[in-house]
Amino acid sequence: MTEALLNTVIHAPNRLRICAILTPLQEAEFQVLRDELGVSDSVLSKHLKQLEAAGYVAFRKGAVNGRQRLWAGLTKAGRLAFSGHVKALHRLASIDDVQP
Amino acid sequence: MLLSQVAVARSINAAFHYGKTYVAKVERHCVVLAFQTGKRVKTMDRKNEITRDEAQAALNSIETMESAGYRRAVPRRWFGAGIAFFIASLFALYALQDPYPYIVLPILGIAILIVSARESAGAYGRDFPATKASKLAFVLFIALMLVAFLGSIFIRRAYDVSWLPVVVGLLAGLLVFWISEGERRSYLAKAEAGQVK
Repeated sequence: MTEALLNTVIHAPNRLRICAILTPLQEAEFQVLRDELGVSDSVLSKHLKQLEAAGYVAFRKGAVNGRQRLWAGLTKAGRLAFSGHVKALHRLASIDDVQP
Repeated sequence: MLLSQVAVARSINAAFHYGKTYVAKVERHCVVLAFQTGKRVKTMDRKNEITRDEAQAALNSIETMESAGYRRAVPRRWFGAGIAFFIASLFALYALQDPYPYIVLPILGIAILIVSARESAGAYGRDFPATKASKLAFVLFIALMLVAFLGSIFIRRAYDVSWLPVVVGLLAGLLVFWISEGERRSYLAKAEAGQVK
């Protein structure tokens, strides 16, 4: 069972959205991610590299009609970290108001 | 956990004894501890502090993006129909006296169909089921198909019933198409669930 842990690598808005869109997928193409997130190539590339450095995303290069395409997918560690982060967010969101 | 990290955690607990200490995380050399003060929920790391509203906003964003992922990966109807056709062909070929020169055709067809569907969509769903129940269903499905496949070949050869592989192939093809339609509907429902909210 995944532990509820906040993850500072994943929590940045764009990285959170990248992980979220990749969760139900095995792999997605770079172009698809860019269009869904509505960010530039360089911004997406930067965030993907950070996720890759943390071991959460893996890349695969493929060629279609002679054109290079980059595919990205969550690793097992990435899925676990994202699942733990979502659990932690759920807990945070459900904490009641307490007056000191 | 380092001693300094324990000390930090203890001092926070002492300072906010009236609040609810939430979740502690040790990341490299920093304790990330979420706690509640009044209406704000923060983490120990000021740079990455998260309020309750921000957590809710993040969850909403996750839901929207997950549904976008499902929308991108919805299997096309022609894909399910194509796979069903090639599976049925694979079974039916064993009605022939010598099916071996042709067996490669449906296998090649399935491979081409999978590759072209993935490339045209730019994203595809997970290769293997994620939950225990769906893993079990997947294993049972593969076992059923193998038993039907090998059984039809055995009966065809032992009793010379040449129509049997064709009938079993048709049934297998229908089953595959029915499963692919169920999968398609499930993806569409998940994609719409996020869009509605």
